[in-house]
Amino acid sequence: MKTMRSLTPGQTGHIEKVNAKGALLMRLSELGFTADEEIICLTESPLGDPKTYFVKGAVYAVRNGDAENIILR
Amino acid sequence: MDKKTVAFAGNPNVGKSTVFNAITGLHQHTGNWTGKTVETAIGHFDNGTTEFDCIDLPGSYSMIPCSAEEEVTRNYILSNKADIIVCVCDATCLERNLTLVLQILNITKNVIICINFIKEAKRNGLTVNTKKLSEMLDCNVIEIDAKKRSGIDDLIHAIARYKRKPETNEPPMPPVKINEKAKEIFRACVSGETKPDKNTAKADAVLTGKFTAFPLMLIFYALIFWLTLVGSNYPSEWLSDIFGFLLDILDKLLENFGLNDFLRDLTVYGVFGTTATVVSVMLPPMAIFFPLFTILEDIGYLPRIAFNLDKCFNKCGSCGKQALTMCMGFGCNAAAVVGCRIIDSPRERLIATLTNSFVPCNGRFPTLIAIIAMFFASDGTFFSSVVSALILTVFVLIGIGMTLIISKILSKTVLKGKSSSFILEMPPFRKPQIKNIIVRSLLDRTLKVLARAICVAAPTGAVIWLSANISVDGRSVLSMICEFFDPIGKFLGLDGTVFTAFLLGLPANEIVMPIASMAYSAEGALSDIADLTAFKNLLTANGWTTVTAICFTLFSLFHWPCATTISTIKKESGLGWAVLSVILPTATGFIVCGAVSFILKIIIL
Repeated sequence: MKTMRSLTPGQTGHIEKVNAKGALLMRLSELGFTADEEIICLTESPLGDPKTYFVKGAVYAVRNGDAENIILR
Repeated sequence: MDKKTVAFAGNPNVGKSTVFNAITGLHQHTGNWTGKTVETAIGHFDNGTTEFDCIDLPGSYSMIPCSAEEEVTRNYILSNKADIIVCVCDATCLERNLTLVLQILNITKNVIICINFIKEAKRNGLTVNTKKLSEMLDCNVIEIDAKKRSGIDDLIHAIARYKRKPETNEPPMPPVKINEKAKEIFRACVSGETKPDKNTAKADAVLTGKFTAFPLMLIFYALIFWLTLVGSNYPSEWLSDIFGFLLDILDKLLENFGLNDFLRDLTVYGVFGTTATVVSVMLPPMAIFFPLFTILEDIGYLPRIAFNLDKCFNKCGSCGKQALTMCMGFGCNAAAVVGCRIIDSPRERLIATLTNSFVPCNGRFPTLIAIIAMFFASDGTFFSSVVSALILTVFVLIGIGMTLIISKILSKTVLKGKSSSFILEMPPFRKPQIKNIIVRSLLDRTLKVLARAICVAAPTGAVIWLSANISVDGRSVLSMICEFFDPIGKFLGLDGTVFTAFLLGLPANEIVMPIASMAYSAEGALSDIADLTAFKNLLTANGWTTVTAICFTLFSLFHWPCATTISTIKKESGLGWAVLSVILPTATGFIVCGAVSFILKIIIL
């Protein structure tokens, strides 16, 4: 199973589903982390965690632990 | 004149406040939210027939709130107090903005939509069809360029001409439907493929790069400290001279009024003298530090600091956004405690609140700078000012390190828990708006903090003067208090006088040094500490050594927060946490200073 965490800067992925519940799922989907959406991993923090992802025109820093819950196709 | 209320809502980083400023100009102030202390800017404008009260609501991604800030926005919109809601959108990520627009339209139909950053969107490959958008949303849609003020007049006209729509009884859409509808409208109205901003990517490669991120952060910190240090020297002296002149005039004036000596000295040297010292010591560094800091804020550097440091905070069981509130703490701890509202999880918010005073605020910088300049780099050359800035940076790093250690201890004990999920938007780098920065930082920050300091300095000045000038058995009350605290002071590597100065400095950290100097010189009035050589002589005559200076600097980093910060924490989190916020840094200070003075004394002896 490939997750968003496995993307390295410059790589692109397509979301299959998001393994989150309640408020977090709601927030993720409002920001654009939803099925079929294309995401690009942009940069990695100098300490390796978190990484930034480009989705729907905006860039977000997401911790690796959280990025594991976003499953890619 | 008619009165109408206009509320400004929108996602964070969409230029909402710029639109707000362009419309209200200087006719605004930051006010407290009823009941809570959420700070929202309130302003007004009129068109001759109607006066419009404008409210700048906190930036919010959604009407389903994740943080205290977002809750304020939601509750305000639900309360239906606003006649019109102006929803500011960012064209570069319109779909996300449309989600909020639709959520607001779900509550009220009285919405005007502003689309900002159209040019940036075009550069990134997107074209927005605002006419179609207006039809699909059944709303007035206005294209603006908030920075260039284009479209602002259209917006003002639209607000002035706005006729409230009748309330409908449409059933509200479920959240999932809203996201789908946002996507549908976005696809119909926006053409082109969205790409990441190239300039931002280039800047990020350096500012968050593996080998460059941390050195650059240190350089920025050191540079800000250095500019503050060098820049505030002369204005401080000028202010001090001016106040000295005014003090003489006041003295003569009161003499002519026939006021007796005791009351005259109390007013002139106690109240006026203290206030004047506080203003001349505080104002210049603040007037330099706050705008510089606001520039970093305005170009979007602060989220990058959070991004760079997040792993450290994650390991300590807290939130990366704590790096943001910590940075705000350099300006003012009390303001930063309010800023902790941006942190979603209550547990992590408390950690950020409790550890905030571990970084030195602006009230402590002048003192730290003075001590460093006197004891570690004293010859007043360019080189020594650089050394001072570097030493200050080291002490700041000690403060940051302690923040992390205490956060870790808290998350293992009273605030047990793993760090929650963390998503932080990295807005594109944008040119700072110098005019706005100066207005905002001077009016909102500098003057506000200064006003607060004056309010506490004046009565404290009277108390100090009285305690220094009322004698029992030939000795002043102040000297007796100092003697009483001498054992504690000695344990900390200080002395009773300095410890008393810290206690009396509770209302505002900036007056610690002036109080100490007054108690030493027994002049009965706050003396001018602008003359560093004379001041150093005074300190060494009273037994100060390099060890005292080091312990003083450390205790200044780690002791009880100022009264304003404590009362803000009480308001935000309750009395129990406020008490803990006093105990934590105080205990840290006792341990650190006790250990350092003990070890250093052994080494030196």
